[in-house]
Amino acid sequence: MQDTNRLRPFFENIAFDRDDNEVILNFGPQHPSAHGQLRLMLHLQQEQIVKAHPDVGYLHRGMEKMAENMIYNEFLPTTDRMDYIASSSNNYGFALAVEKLLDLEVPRRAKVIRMMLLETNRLMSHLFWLATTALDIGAMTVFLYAFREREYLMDLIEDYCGARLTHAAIRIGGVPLDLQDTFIADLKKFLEKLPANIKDYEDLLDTNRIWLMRMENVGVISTDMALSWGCTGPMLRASGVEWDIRKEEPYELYDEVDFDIPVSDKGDNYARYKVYMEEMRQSARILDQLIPMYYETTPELMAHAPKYISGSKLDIMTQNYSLMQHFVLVTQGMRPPVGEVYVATESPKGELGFYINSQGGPYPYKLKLRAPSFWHTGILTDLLPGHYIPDVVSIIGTTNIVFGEVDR
Amino acid sequence: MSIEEFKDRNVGVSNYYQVDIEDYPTQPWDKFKRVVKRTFRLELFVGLWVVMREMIKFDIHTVSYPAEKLPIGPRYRAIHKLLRLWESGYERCIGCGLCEKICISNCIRMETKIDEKSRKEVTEYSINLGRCIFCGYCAEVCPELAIVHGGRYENASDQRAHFVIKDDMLTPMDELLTKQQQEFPGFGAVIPGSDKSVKKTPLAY
Amino acid sequence: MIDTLFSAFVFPGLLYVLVWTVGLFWFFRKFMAALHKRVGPSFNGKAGSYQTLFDLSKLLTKESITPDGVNPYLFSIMPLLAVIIAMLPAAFIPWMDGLVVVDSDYGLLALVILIGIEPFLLFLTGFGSNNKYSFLGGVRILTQSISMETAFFLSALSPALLFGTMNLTQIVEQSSWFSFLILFPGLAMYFVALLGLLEQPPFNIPDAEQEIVYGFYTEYSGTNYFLLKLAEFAEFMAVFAGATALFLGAYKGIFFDSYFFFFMKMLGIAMLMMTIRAATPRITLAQMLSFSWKYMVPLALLNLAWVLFAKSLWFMGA
Repeated sequence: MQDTNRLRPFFENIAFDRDDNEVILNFGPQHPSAHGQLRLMLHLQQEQIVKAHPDVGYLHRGMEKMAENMIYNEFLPTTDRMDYIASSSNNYGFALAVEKLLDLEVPRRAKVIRMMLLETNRLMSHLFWLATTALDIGAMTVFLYAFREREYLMDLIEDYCGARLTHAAIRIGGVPLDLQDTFIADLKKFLEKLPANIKDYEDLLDTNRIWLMRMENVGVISTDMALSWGCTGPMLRASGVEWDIRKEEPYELYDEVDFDIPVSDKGDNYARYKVYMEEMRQSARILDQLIPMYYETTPELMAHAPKYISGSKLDIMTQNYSLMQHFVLVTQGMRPPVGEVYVATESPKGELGFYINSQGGPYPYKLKLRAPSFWHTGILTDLLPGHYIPDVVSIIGTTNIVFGEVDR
Repeated sequence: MSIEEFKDRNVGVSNYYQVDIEDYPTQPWDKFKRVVKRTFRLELFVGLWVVMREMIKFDIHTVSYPAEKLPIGPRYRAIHKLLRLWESGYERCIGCGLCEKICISNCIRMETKIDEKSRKEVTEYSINLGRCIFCGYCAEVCPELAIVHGGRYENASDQRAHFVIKDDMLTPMDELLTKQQQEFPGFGAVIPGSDKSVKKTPLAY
Repeated sequence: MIDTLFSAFVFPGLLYVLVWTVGLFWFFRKFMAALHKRVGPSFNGKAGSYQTLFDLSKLLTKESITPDGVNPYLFSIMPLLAVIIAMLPAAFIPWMDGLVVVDSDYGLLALVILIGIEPFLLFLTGFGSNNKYSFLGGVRILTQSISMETAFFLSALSPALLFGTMNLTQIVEQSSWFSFLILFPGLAMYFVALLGLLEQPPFNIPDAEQEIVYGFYTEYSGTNYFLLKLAEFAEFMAVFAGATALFLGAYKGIFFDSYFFFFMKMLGIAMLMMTIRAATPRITLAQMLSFSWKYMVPLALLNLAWVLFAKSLWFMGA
């Protein structure tokens, strides 16, 4: 037995007497392709997996507990760090949940700007997904090309809000900044080049026989398995279920924009890959339609609710009562009405949900973040047995797991 | 509802469309046909051609840092700056403490005292750059547009807590006199063109 | 005597192979960078030409960590053996007219055998490290090399069949544009088997950084690692030189014979390999096995049949 006073690491792969040939391999937290810190304990029978056990928690920062000690506005940059690849989507989910709690009406221009940010983040996330999956399978050139496209988008967002990765560009009640003069022109230039680039990636990968060999019939998720494990987003749509929150429970201006949603019924890696590529095209289509909508709106950026939201900087600097309200809101925090709310949005990874329970104080009483990648990590337990080691890498790649979300 | 009813529900068929994947063959004859078709398709050369074509263009996508640096936008959130008023040259900061209160990572500290003219004066003001997350909230709540973000982003240090103090951040007087002080257009800025929409404070209340 | 020693150690012997290996490494990095639209080494020396030397000398000064529980013979001695055996095939290749270190009647056989032994030594290095990832990498390289080796030597055998001799200098002397056309399928097959034997994409299964954390190289650092990398690149050079000598008519050029053409042909094969490396994903072990035994080996045998047919038609009496 172990001596508890002198703890030694208890590795499962040393000094066990086994009669069969089973090897326990730690697809460890430090691995070039574990997409973060995923510890996956695999029981192998000569390169075929018999049992898989994911172990998460290496990136846990205690966000839900931190929220109980922060006022609502202060918590927003923390949500940036959940799905750090598309950080505006998380900001937006939180802002939408609080707005629903407060029953606020966001002005139209703010809605258009928010939608532009959301779709740009969707493109960024899907490009990142493509780059890392291609790199894991061995095609390094697609990785470098996709990162170049992503740099364009990050430059766009950096010019807008000042940071490339942790945007904090959305506030409760609207957006703090208007688009700068060069945003629309740069966005149009980018959207002109994007279809040619997506076609390049498809030329390199789509019909490539090696890519097909690696992706077809690997990691097949049937409809029942997807529904019972709580998969959402592209994982669900590639398994045959037609469900997209943007169409079913539309928020923002998604019911005024014209776009289609790709679905497949195969459920394997290749279906997910195709769904992601088509979603990139649809996002570009939405962005094209948003540009003329922006010009038709009046320049009003934040909702008008002096009880909960500070006024604009002009009002604070010139109007006495706005200044007083601003001081009170910053030092004491806004107090929403008592109630609870759950709002789900369609982040690039799946359904991102925020549950807020407020008891009238400045801090939320309970905040729960429903991250899609957490559920997608769970499905690995059922999905991996029967596959080989290289398939583990490609399956983890296409399930698009980001560990900021899984561990929060 | 059950999965059959779910699939049967009344959803507009023009919204969801199937992606274009050909069916996987199950019969041996179909499998054999697919093998033969895939063997003689030359798509690997298309991939090689794409890569060669990109190489022939000879445009390098990378920037040789530190010899060349990319320009950053005016709204970029890097090391902070304390601004001065244009007309008089006084510091804008009034020591209200809002930035210290809103700071998410509790990294701003200031000390104030009342000076001989009975006005509040800030004696020490420091930001712990090791803790700062450069979120822009201090710039957003400042009622005087005093604390803003600047463009100095190369602040690597060998200590976890490294500070900027007021002298590092405050605009030097010669910079103010030569009109080189820039307003920050990012978080917390006044919407451009607001000079026209200033309203008089209602005196009768 | 001095002559033989000179040619064995300096040119075209040991020093020449080392210089070639270093130069080839630099060329790989720059070409790969151009394919990826980045710059590659550019800091040390003109266009980064000293970078390889600096990297290698840096590796030599680092500590070679020997983990606990390794097999000392396999772990420490195998890299030395691997380097020596990887550099030997260069002795059999005719670099210029009459410039060959060992001119034997069985040059082709020696080439194939020496190139084929190399992966087995690398497997032993993986087996000797006390690490599961290295062991998996070693098993993979053994499986891959056995499959690809068959196709490799069957296709390397076709020039010997065509010309009726295993002497490399005579093969080069008798090669011409016409024989190049006949041997072209053999060259294509040799190239694909070469990719498999050298663990280059799309067959870089033992070297798969994303799956098994660098395969059998995992536990090596410092001088040991330098020797293994040197073995890998010397193997490249040997295999490319073999391809040029057997199929492409080593030093024969368009109007005149010169060493320059040998150089350009080797670089051409290197560039083709690099382009394929940039553009293709990686295959799984099971798929590689099925590809090799179901497609490559039958095609290699068919290639032999074609060469014999061509020989009976046009090369009788050669």
